Amino acid sequence: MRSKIMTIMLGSLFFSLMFQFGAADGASRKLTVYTYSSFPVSLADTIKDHFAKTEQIKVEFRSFSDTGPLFNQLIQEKQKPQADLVIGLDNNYFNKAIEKDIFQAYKPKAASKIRPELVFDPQYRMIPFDYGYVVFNYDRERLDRVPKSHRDLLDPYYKGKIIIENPLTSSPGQVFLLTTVALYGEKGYLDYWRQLKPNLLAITPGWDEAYGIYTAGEAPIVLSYGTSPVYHLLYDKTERYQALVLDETAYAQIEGMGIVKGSANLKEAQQLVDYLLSPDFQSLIPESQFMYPATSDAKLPASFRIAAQAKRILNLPSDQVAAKIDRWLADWEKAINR
Amino acid sequence: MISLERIKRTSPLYIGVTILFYLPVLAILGKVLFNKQLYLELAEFIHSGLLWNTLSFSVREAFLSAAFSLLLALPGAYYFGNYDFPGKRFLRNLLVLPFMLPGILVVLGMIVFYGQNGTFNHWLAALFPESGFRFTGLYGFSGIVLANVFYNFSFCIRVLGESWERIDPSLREASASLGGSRLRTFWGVTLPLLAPTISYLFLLIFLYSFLSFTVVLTLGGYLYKTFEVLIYIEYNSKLNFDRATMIAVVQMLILAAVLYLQTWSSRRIRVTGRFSRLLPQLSWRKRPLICLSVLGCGLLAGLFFAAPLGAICFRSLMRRGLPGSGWTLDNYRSLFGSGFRFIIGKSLTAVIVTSIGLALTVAIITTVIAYCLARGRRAKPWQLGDLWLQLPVGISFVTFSFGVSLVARRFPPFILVLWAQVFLAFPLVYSLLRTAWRDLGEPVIEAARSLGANSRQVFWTVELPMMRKTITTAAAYAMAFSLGDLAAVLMLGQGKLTTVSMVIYRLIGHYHFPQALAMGVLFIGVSVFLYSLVQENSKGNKVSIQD
Amino acid sequence: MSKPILKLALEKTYPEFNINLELTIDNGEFFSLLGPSGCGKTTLLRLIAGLEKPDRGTIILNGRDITKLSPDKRRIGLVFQNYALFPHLNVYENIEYGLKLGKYSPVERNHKIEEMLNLFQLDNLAKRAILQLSGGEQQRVALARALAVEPEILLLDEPFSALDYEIRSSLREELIQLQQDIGFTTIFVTHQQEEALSISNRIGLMRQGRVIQVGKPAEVYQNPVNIFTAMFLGDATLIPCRLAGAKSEGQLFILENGQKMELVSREYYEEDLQWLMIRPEDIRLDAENPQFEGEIVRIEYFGPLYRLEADTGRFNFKLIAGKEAGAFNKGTRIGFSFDPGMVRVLDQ
Repeated sequence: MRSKIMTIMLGSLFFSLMFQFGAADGASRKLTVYTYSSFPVSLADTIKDHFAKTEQIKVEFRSFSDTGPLFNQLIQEKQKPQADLVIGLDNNYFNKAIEKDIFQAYKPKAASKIRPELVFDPQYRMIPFDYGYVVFNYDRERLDRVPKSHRDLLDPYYKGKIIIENPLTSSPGQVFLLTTVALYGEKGYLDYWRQLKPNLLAITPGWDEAYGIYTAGEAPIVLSYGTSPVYHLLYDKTERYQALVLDETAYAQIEGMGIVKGSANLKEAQQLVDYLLSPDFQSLIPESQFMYPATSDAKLPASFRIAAQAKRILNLPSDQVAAKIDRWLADWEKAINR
Repeated sequence: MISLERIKRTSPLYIGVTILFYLPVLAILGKVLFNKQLYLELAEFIHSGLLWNTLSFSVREAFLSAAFSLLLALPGAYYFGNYDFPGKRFLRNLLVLPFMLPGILVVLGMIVFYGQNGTFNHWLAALFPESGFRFTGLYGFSGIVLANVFYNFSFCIRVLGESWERIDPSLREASASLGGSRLRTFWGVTLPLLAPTISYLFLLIFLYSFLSFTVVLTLGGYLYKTFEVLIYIEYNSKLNFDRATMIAVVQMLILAAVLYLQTWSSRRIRVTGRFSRLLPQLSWRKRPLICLSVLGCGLLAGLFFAAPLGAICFRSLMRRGLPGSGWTLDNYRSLFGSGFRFIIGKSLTAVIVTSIGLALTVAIITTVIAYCLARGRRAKPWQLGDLWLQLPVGISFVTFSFGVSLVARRFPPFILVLWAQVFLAFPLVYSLLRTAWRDLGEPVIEAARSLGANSRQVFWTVELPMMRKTITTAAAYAMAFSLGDLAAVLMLGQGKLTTVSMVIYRLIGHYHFPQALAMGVLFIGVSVFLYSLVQENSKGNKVSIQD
Repeated sequence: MSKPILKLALEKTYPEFNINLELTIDNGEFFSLLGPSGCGKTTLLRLIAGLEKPDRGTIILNGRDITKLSPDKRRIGLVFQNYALFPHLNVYENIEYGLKLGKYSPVERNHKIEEMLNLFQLDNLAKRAILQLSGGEQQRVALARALAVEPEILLLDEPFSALDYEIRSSLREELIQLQQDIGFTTIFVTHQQEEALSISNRIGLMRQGRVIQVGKPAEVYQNPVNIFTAMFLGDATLIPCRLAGAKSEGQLFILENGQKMELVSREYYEEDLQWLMIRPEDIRLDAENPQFEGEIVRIEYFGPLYRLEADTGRFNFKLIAGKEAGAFNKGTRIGFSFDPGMVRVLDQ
C-alpha cells in the first residue's frame, strides 16, 4: 500500500515536471516578451508559432500578476534588461515610462495605419497595440430604467445596483476615476463620487470580482468594457448584456507596446512589432482580447456590432494625468472613506 | 544545561529553514533600512489615523472571526471527537475544502449564496413572504466576518475534534462521579483540557483573518482595510515598494507581539492529553437523541458550510451560470473542448496534473521538514524557537514573494513557487505536528527501540502509524494551501506555471464565469477523491466496539 | 548463579544530581533497585537500556562492551511504568513486534507468541485492542512483549505502581514464578521497600545517584550501613549515643539520657559517635525487669500485630507487640527490653 501511494506521488510529480519543462528546445535566436498574466494565451501561441516557423526565432513570454509589478520589474532591470518587448502597459503608464526612459523609439512600418487619436507619442517609444472603452454594462432583464448620463446614476433608484472596481487597485477603476475628473473637473469629481457612493453595492479590487458578481446576478450595472457584451453574444448567444455609453462619451484605455532600451535583439523586436500591427494579427484581437484593434485596416468581426462605440473620446492629456493622478487618488480615498 | 547533542542534530535543518524563510525578508529589509526618508514616512504613518484605523478594524474583525469560528465549530467538534458514525472519514476530508479554494471562488460562493440575489435571500423570501425580511449584510463588516468564519470554521471542527478524541473519558467520568453536572464537567474538565487547542486555533484564525485580503477588498467596499490591503495597494498600484515594505514590517512586529503574547500565556495552561481510545459507534436504535442532535447540528453547519459550495455547484450546472435558465452540462463539456486550450493554452489534464503535482511536492516537502523539526524539538516546551518557526504566518505574503524574486532571480519559476508555497503552508503544518509529537510521548518510541527497532524501523512501525492521522491532516492542509494559492503562482510563476487556481482566475477574466464555477467543482471533486484515496490507504488496524 | 552478567561503572552529570556508581548483576538473579523518587534509579535503567548515554564509564553485558551500542542492538528488555504499549496494534501484534524485527521465521514467531500468550494467560485477548484492556492485562502484555524476544536481561521500571493491591501482588507472584522457571536476569526498580524485600535475590539501595548498599534483603535490612538505609528499609528506633569505652567482649556506649549500654559488636568502634539502631521486632514487652519504660504515644493495629511507639522521656522507641497490646491505650505506661546483640551501630 505504502509503495503504491509513493508511486502515485512520484509519478504525478514526474509528470508535472515534464509538463513544466518539456517545451525546452534549441532555437538559436530568442525574443523575450513581458506581459501581464491575463494576456490571451491564444495570441501568445500565434506569435510563437509564427516566429518559430517564418523566422526560426523562439519567442518567450514572461507574465506578471499585473501591470504594476511588470513596470517595476522593468525599472529593476534597467541596467541589465532581460526583456526585448513589453506588451500591455496602458496610457496611464505612458508618462512614467518616458520619465524612466525604459523604451526606445521605433516607428513601425504600419505607423500610418494606426488610428491617430490613439498615438501617445509622436516618437513611437510606446506604440498602440489595441484599445477599448471603459464603460458601464447593464443586464437588460434586470434593469427597467436605463440611465442616459452619468448624472442619472446618482438617482436613488440605482441604490445598491452598481458595482465598480477600486481605482487604487484596478485599471478600469482608475479609468473611471479619470472619466469623472474629465467630466466634472478637479473640483467637481469628488462631489460626484460622494453622491454615487450610496448607490454602490461593492467596490471590488479587480475587474474579475466585479464582473463575477455582476454575472452572478447580484447587481444589474457594472463597470466593465464596451466590448464585454460581445462575449455573451458569441458564446451565450444572448444580447441580454448591453454596454452603456453615458453622455455619448467614453474614456479609452489604450494598451501599448514598446521595445526595451538596451535590448540585445533589436532587429527581431522590430520585426515583432511590425507583425503585431499587421492586419492579420490585429484582426485576431477583437475576439480573443475583446478589444478594438489599433490599426484601421484590421477587420472588425460581425459580433462587434454590439460593442460600445463612443462618439467622442474623453481622454485627459497624459501629462496632466501623470502629474495629478496620485493626488486625485488620495483625495478619492479620503472622500470615499468618510 | 541544554543538551549539545540535540542542538547539533537539529541545527542544520533549523538553520536551513531560517534561511529559506527569512532571507527573502532580510533582502527586502536591507533595501529599506537605509532609506532615511522612510523613517519620516513611518513617523507620519504612525501619527496618521491610517495605522490606528487599520489596526482597530483588523483586530475587531479578526477577533470576531476567531470567536465565531470556534463557537460554531464547538458542537461539530464534539460529535467528531466523541462518536464514530458512517461517513465520518469522508466528512473529515470535506472539511479541508475551503482552504483549498482560490479566494475569488470563495467570495463568489458567498455572494451566490448570501448575496442580494442569493439563494439564502430567496429562501427568506419564500419563508416570510410578507415581512420583506432580507439579509443585506454581505457587503460590509458582517460580510467580512461571515466569509472569514466560512473559511476557518471547518478547519476548527477538524482540529478541535481530533484533540477532543484524545481526552481520557475517565476524567469526565471522574468529575461526574464527584457530583459534577454535565455543564460543570465541561467547564471544569473538558474545557481546560481543550484550552491549549482552543487558544491555538483562536490565535491562528485571528492571524489568518488579520491578514485576510481578497475577502476584505471585495466585500469591504474599500471602507475597510487590513494591513495586507495597504501593502498590496502600495506594492501593486502605487508602485511604492519601500512604503509597502515599511507597512509589512509594522504588520510583522504587531503579529510577532501577538504570537509572543500567546506563547507566553499558553506556557502556563498547556496540558497534554495523550489518550487514545475507540469511539462509540452511533446507532439509531441505541442513541436516537444523540443521532438526532448530530443530524440537526450537521444540517445547520452544513447549511453554513456546504451551502456556498453547493451554490457554486448548482450554478455550474445552470445555463450561463444563472438560476432559472435551465440545467446543462455545457459548462463542464466546454472545459474538455478546444475552447479551454484556446484560453488557457494547456489541456485540462495537464493543468490538473500540474496543480496536484505541485501540491503534492509542497505537501511532502513541508511535512517532511516540519516533521523533522517537530521531532527534534519534541522534548522541549513551546519556546521562542517555535515562535520563530511560527512567525512566517505574520509575514506579508506579497512582501515575501517579492523578496523571493529578489534573492533568487535566476531560479526556475517552479522552484520559486514551490518555495513560496512551502513558506505559506509551513507554520500550520509545523504546529499541528509539534502538538501531535507532544501527545505521542517518548516511552512508546523507547519501547520500540528496546525491542530491537532501529530509528528507521521505529519511524515506519511506530511513529508513522501513530502519527498517521496528524500527518495526513497536516499534508492535506499543505496541499490545500498550495492548491488555493494564486498570489505565488501569479507573482513568481512568470506565466509558465498553470495551476487550477490560475485557470479559474483566467476563466473569470475571460468572461467564462460559469466555466470557472464548473472548473472549481471539478477540482473539488478530484481533490476529494485524491484525499480519500490517501486516507483509505492509510487506514490503520481499526477495531470498532459496540457499547 | 553467581556468574556476573552485567557490570556497570558509570558517571553522568545531570542538573539535579550526578550518577556515579559501580554495580555488578549476577546471571539469573532478581535484583531490585530501591530508593526514594528522584534518586536516579530510573535513569540508571535508561542508561543500561541505552536510552541515555553516560558521560564516562562502561557497561559490560555478557562479556561484551555495549556502552556505545544503540538501544536496539543491546538485547535488553524494558518494561515501562505506564507500559508504553503500541495503541495502533492489538495484543498479538504488540508481542509480535520485536519478533518481527529479529531473525525469527514465521513459524518460530508464531510459536513464540503462542507461548507468551499462554504463559501470561492472554490467549483469549490476542485480537483485543490495547485500549480495551485493563491495567493488569496491559501489564501482562508489556511483560510478554519484552520477554518474547528473549532479552539477555530484563529491566522493569516500577511495573506495578499503577495497579491496585490485589492485582499487584498476584502479578508479582506470577513474575517471580516465571523468573524462577525461565531464569532470566531481572533488574527491578521500585520505591517500595516491602516489594523489594519480598521478591529480590539482592537489593541495591540508591541515593542521589549513588549505590549506597548492595546485598541480600535480610542482610541489608539487618545490617544497614547508615541511617538512611536503615530508615528506608523499615521502621527502626534510632538512639544518639557516644562511645564510652571498650570492654573485653564488647563496647560500652553512653546513651544520651545517661544510660549505659554494653554491645557485642563485630566491628570495633573508636570514634565517638553516632546512632544505635534497633528494629521494632527485636524489642519485647517486659513488665518485670524492663530496660526502658515509656508512655504509648501511637498505637496502630494492622491485623496480626500492633505497631507501638513509646516515649521514654528522651527518645521514642518503635516496637511491635502481639495480642496483649489490645489492652493498651494512648498514655498506657509500658516496660520493654531488648537483646543488646540485636543493636546496630550506625554512621550518620
